Amino acid sequence: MKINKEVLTSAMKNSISDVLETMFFLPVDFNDSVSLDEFWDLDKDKITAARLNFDGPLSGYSILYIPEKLAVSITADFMGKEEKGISDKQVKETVKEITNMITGNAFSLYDPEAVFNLGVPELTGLDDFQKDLSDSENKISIAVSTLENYLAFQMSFRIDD
Amino acid sequence: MAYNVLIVDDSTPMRAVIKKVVKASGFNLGGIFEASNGREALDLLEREWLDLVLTDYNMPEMNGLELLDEMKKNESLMSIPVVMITTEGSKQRVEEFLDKGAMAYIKKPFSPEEIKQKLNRIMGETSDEDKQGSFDIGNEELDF
Repeated sequence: MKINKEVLTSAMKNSISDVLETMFFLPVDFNDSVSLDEFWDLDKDKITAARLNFDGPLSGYSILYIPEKLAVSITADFMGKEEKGISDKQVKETVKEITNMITGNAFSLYDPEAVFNLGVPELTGLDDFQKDLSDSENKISIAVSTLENYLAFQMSFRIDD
Repeated sequence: MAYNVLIVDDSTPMRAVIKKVVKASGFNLGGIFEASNGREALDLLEREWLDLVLTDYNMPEMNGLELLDEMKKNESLMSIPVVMITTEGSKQRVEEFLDKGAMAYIKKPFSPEEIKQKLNRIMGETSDEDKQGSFDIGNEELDF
């Protein structure tokens, strides 16, 4: 399947809004005017990232990048608990769950007729963070602003020769 | 009549949220049990008397569809209603869930209020049935 980047980008944005606003009560806005590598202050914020492989009409993986502080706050709100009562495991599971929901929902919005197989989300390292965030032909990267913070979601596609 | 509900999801926070919503549904609950994948769920189903299974689809070890398949092969488990809770919203996948015997599916993301209303409807419609009955309200699609 040839990627319709415009339609998929719109589906990804709608999915991010659906998931974060509906389930996590987090209003979001999209920052199309900045590049993702300008978006982050890695000296200031520790980032958590989760990756999910997918195949089907499109194959590749998605990654959610989220500052740890925001991940803790979202998890606490989601579970209806105080931040101090939230474990590291719960935060990581929440980040993985968000990645799963955004990806699955984006594909449903992109093409409701197509079946995409999603893997099981896993936490991923940030060794190549800047490179990962740079734009390329086979990626769609979305910068997301929340009221007091930011995050990013990216899909990378495998293009078969 | 009190009902025992099993929540199956590999995400602890998601299980906690679903549990809270189920508790808030106002339905007469006996116990709420939890499992983190289909394999654990089957173990629990063999040991406990359960009346409703709410399961995620995408889980390690044994996914929700494999759990459903195993339940339908087992005479003592085949009549327990299963609701699939999933991010997978393609028409073909949803048909697969329902064809294989899921009573309903709920698409993530869901709002607590929405899932509460839907569960109330499912449980309300089945509350007049015998506890060991079939919960036969057909294959209802809960798409919101």
